[in-house]
Amino acid sequence: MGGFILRRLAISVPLVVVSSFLVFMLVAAAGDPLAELRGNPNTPRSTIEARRRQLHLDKPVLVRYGMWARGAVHGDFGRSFVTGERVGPMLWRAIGVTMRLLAGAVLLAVLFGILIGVGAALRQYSKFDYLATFFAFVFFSMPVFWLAAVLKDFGIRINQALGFNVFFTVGEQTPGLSGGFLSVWGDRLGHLILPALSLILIQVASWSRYQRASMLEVLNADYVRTAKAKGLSPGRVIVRHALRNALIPIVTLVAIDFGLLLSGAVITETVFAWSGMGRLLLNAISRQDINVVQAWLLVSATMVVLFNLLADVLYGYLDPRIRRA
Amino acid sequence: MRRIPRHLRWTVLAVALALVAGVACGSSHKSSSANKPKSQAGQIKDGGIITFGADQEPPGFNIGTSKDNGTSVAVIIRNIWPSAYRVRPDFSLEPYLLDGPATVTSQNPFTVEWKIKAAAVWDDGTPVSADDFEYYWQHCNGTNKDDDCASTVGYDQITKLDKVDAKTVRTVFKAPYSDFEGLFGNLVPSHIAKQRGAGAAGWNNGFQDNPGPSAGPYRFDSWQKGSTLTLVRNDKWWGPKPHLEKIIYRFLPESSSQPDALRNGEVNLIYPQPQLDQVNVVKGFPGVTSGVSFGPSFEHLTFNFKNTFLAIPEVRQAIALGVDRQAIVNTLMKPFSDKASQLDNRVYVATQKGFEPHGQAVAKVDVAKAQAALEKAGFTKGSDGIYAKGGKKLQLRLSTTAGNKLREQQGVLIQAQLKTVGIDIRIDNSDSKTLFGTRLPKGDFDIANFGWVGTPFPASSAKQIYQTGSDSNFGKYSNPAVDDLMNKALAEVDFTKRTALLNQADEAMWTDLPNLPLYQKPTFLAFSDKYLNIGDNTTTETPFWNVEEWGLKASAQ
Repeated sequence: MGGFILRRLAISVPLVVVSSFLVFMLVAAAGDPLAELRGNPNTPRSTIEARRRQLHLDKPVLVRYGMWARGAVHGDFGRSFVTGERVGPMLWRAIGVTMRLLAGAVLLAVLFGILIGVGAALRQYSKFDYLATFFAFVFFSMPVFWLAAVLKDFGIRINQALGFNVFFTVGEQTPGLSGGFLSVWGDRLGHLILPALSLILIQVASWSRYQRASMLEVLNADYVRTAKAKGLSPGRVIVRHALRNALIPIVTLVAIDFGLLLSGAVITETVFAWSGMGRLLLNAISRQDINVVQAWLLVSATMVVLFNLLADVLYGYLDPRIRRA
Repeated sequence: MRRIPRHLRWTVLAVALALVAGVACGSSHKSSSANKPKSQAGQIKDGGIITFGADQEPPGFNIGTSKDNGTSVAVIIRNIWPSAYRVRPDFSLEPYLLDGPATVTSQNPFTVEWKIKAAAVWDDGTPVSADDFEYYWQHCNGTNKDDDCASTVGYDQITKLDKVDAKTVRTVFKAPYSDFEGLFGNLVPSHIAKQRGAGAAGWNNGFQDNPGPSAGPYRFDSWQKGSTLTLVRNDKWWGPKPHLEKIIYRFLPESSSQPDALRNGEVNLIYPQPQLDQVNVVKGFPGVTSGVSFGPSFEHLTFNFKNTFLAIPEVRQAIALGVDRQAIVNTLMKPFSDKASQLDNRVYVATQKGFEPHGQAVAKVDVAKAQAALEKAGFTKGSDGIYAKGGKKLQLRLSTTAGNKLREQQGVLIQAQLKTVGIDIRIDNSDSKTLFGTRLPKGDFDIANFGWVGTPFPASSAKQIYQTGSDSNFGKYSNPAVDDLMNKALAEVDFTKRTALLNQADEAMWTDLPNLPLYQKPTFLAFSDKYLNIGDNTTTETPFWNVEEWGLKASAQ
């Protein structure tokens, strides 16, 4: 297992380096961080030139990449072209926001995905199974931005019917809110529900299908038939023998998906104005803030690689046949 | 909205869910008023908070630097760092920090005296003084290349600044300069800037994380990066006490999230870049007042006089007669507001004092006249309907910023209109970096479509754009008589005489046609009608120009 992990890491490092180089070149070619300055006829040429030197835009792009890479190796991602703030704290702040959005959403999506998938498999071709399949395909084919917009509208209408805000459509909390623990956490929950729901519904749709298929495969296996033949109770057969094995694929799938989601549930964050990783990237691209884009890429690529590695390790750990192979 | 105990909310919610469909069907989108950006005067209560859905987070606070020179900073800093003059919505000026208008004490050398209000003080107790004026001039006169100044225009004309006393400044200019009232906007607290960094360092980077003390109606309280910024009432402010206790800026760069936030009461005021579908949706919100105004930015076509065809006056005339500006306005701008119209002045915008419509000879589209002009210049119509001269077809490139949907649509309309006249237009767009950074300065264009921003100081901005040899005179237009009129206008301190000179210059330019103004671009303001005295100001003052007058209605909860 140790050798396996080291081999995977050895492949991942050059992959991340090549990705960072390609993205740097693409972002550098895509826009001009000084476009706004140049577009204003009142900006003195000397100011534009000074800013160009300050941002090292007077240097060749390869030299600029080298400067960035040298700093990145030491954990210094430079400063934002737009705000001048250090990129490191900006990234950590964004990761924290995305984690707060995802933590609860992913847990609930896993729970419901497994419950619905298992239920549908156990009651194959029943009304429950058909309903679960129908809604899974409905939500699976629904674009996230549309679902988010519908949820927002729904939430606002409920608020208007009630005469007070239960659901909030932007941000993590009401600015300047003071009050007790219940008031503050109730407000946070009100802000979390709609974006979390837009993620949960789509992830549940996906994961419940995987879980159903995995469960059906296991239920038809010989060892489950043997367990039943031995006279074990249905509950014991399902939970102890079938479910444990059926969970293996979903655990690895969740690990991979979580790594991808950490890079930013971009659309959800954008629609609900959460200042997480996805929104950080969008803003940086639109403002040609190269240092932020590069740092985002490095962190995201690392998370995807790590979570993929985690998925492989988990799979190997959970399935002894993989370990021995 | 009122709050009820948390444990009861979910019970009520479960019941309300059943009612939602009925509510949804029964609700109607009625606007509480029809496009009235300024609400009626009424009884205002003391206290309360307003939350503004801001398009962007500020990069810093020194709006005098190029990196911080934007609306995201203006909406905040104008409440904290006051200016010598305040610009009203009609572009007229009133002394704000000054104790009366600045006075011209000598014509030769041209000298202006500024008297700062005796009561004007930073909230740390330090008086607003001549030191602050001196500091601003030192960092914006262009002598120090390390200073990042957004614009040195005007400051580079000051040869000497004398501090007569703590509250009086005398500035001596190289030559008469009538736009002096535009100087010393958003004064920096110099005593803090110097503490935060010597020389250019303090000016450039001293106000990244907070603006320091306030001499305005509000002061900086806190900034949660990525989320919100809060200003609170400044008790040391020398003006009338603001009604609202707090202003919260909530950063919502996705314009699509702003209308829902307004509708849900999570923000109370939005000022987004107007998009047609959004404007129409917001107009229908109950309890919200909204309106479209026309801002200082205007679209136009600049002609390159180095192009052999465009150097011929009749060709420019034919283009002016062939482009149906009103049709473009009807297609692109009228859906925003039925007050949209074509712009018939390139120095003043229609909402500005001093505006006069000119260019009546080319005000209305006239294809026959356009073709007659071309034929007079020796062009002959080919079998394909396109005019030619000396064996060369009258083919011109039209360039604008690629990716800007409005401008791309505009280009297509203009191409079709000029084809009717017999001019072949090729669309040749570039990204803004290439267009503004390379092509315009190098003259690599035939007709360029972009925007200029009108200002309350048209004398200096007209000179910047139309003066022979000026950096921003991309088309290389030159008319010594117009140069002379603009120089005279810049030296003329009397508003009426100056306006007359600039309008004469504009009239002359309607004959020369260095460019063709199209229309003013709209702005859009929407706010909860719980608030009073909010109205648009499309200048750099922003709608916050009279923030101390804003307040909650006495009846508001």
